Amino acid sequence: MNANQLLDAIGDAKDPYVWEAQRRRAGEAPKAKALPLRKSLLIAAVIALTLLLVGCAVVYALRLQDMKVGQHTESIPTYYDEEGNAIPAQTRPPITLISLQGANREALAEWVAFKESYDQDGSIAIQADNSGSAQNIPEAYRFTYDCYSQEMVDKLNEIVEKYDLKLLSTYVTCQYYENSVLFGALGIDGVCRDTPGAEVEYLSGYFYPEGTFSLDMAITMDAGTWRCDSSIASVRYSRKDSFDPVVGALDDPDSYTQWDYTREDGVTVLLARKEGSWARIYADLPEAFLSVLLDGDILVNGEKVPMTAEALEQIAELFDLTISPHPADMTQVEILQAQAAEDHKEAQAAAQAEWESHFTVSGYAEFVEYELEHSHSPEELSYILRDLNGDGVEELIINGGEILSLKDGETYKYFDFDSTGVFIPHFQLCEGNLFELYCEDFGTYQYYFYQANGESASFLTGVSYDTVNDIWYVNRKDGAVTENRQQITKEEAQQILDSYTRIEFDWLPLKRYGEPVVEMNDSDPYAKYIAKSLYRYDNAGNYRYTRMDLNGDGVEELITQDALINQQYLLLRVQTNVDGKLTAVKTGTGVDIFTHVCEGGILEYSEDYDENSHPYHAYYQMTGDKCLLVDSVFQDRGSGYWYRMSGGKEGEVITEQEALSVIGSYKRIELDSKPFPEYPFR
Amino acid sequence: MEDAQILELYFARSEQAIVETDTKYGGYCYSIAYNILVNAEDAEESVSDTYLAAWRAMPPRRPAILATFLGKITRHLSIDRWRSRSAYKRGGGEMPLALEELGECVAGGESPEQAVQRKALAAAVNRFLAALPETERSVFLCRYWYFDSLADTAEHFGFTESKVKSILHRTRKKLRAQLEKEGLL
Repeated sequence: MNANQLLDAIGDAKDPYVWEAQRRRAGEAPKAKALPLRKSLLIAAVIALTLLLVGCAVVYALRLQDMKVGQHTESIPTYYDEEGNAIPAQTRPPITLISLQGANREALAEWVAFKESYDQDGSIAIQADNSGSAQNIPEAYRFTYDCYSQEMVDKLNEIVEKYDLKLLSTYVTCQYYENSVLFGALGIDGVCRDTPGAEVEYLSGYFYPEGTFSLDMAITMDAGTWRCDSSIASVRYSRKDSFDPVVGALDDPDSYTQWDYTREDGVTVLLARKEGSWARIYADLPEAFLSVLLDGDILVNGEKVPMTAEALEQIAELFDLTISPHPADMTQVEILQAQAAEDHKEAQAAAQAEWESHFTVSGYAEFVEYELEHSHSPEELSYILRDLNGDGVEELIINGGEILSLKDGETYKYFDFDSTGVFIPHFQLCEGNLFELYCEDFGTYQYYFYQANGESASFLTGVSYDTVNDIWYVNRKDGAVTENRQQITKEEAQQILDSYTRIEFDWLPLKRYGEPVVEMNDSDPYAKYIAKSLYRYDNAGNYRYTRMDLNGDGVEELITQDALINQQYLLLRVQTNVDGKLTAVKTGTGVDIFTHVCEGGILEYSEDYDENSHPYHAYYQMTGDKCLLVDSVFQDRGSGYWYRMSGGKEGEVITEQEALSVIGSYKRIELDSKPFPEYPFR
Repeated sequence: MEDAQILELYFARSEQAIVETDTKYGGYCYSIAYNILVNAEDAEESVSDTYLAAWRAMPPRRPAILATFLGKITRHLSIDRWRSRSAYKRGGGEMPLALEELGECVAGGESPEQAVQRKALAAAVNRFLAALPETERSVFLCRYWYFDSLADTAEHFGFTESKVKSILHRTRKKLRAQLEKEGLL
């Protein structure tokens, strides 16, 4: 293997990890902008009366079917079995393409039909790309209308001339921290009205200098009977005096429930909803057409449910239908972009400064409160209090993080684990105002010792083990810097390690900071695990356990449903007792979570929570304290085909009937589980 | 526009899918390509190639995370482009530096066993990543997936460059240990 191959392998990193890193690259999202409460109901009443007097309410006849400008049917490649017979796949319903402009539907339908029939094999596009001829297409035609040949340009010109329309210019994109550019350039304050109980966070978008724009946002709203938490909405405001090429797409329009809703301001909008799909809002305004695509679920009593008519009507009230974007002055746009970049930089610096400042507060309790509030998993944080340097002041030691001390009533960072070079630092108390940071994870062996001094700790000695070359090293200065290390014998290393006397202690949950300490002395590792869970996790009283010998070795495994991984669905964690030590049962690929136990000690992991999840079933056999994949069956939602991988063979396409037969051959067992508090502690 | 909508456009064979993709992820893909190629023109070409590849792939593919689906294509195309270019001359940018750093993790010089080893290696890398704390995983991927410079990575995380170096050093060391343990070296 060489570095190039490793680089390629890193390219196959799982998507969530790659996206997780991208979020860090992009910086944290800005805080939600809270809309101020509506000033006065009286004003709303006056506006409503005025609208009534001028007769603004119109009879609305718009329906999704009216907005249709085209249709597309997806083609799925056919797979064949070993005898050459086609394996049946699901047929997919046609997709309906709709106008998001309200006006100019004939023109758009003509353009869509042309593009659907033009260059079906993509050869013209490839030729244009390879020859660079697409570069000669005027920018607006190329970027806004996606023309890559003169033929397309000519057709577009023919359509706009026929229907007497203006073309849109090239659009300007805005990152999430640049939505002020969109608003500033078009002369609007936002797209939502001040509404009690609602917060809107504007995200990224783009606009055309003529005033048409698209903008994503996250809506948080509490209406009492229902709420939504950062629900994503996508708004497109399309001016009617230009030709907008953007189409919306949806499945069968007849399957949507549609109705007209007249808002408090007298404007009637079309609302559409369908279970398992986006909720939709459309407003046909005099100068523009506004369409909103919304997350199709809301929360009722904390449970996700499909959007209700009442909720959609209330959300429809949020949008400001009086906005009137003016054309953008492109020289101003650059100024606005520079200002937005500067503001973003300042916001990031302020966030960093806030993080640093949280180490200096008036007492450990305040620090702990901050840590708990800002941690993604506060229940996992642990601490101990010890006077490390013998000055009569206890230091607060957070496992894996840092050590704080107190001076003149204020906390300060006494020692930062991250600065030590220990890969995954674990803290260990030692006698004589000393402590150790060590790592024995994943084949990395490091043991570094520190002297606790007055206001900080200093490095004493570091011992490390090179597992690849079987060499021990010692560092006598500058921590983990490899340049300063010296090779020593295993015996010398052991002698150094033995010269420090470790002091045993138990970590305490940081959530329990300030409470009396509870001792746990059960010799049964399962009992200790359950007792610690009960002490650490608020809802552990609802966790359940079962004991069952899965691999027939006479040792019962501990199977727990502790909902630590996925709060919506109970998942199983399997652990076993290896020489009195609690050991997690994992697959070769590191899977340590299962959903069912099947007959014969088979562990199953499936993803068939609901109709939106990808059907996926994997079956594992436990051998020793490991488990091996014996079978897996899953369906590709894109094509509808079922696949099977078993016995280390390559995956194969199978029929749905065969897939269901495989799934049915593994009989799930109803677990006789009991609540954690009923475990027989000694 | 939300990813689900963009996917709908791909499946509807609406070329607006490319426009929306470019709007939302053009900068993201460009940053990946530019970090590898250090040439605006080449980077733009890689991004264009990405869109064409995405257009050909969807349908039938329906990626769970559109961004990383696109990012992976861009990364792959850009590395290929860099390799063909560096067959003639050594390019600049973060790519050669990242390669040198990763050289610590592997033995080098062995003949590749192609697809089988690559699959095993990819699985091992993912197991390795799964076991890393989030911050270290992200630092590692910013450097070796996105090819961000040390300075940029430090800025993303609010760390000093030396701290980033230290994290990367530890992570590489651990990766090497794990690959060795799994018999992949």
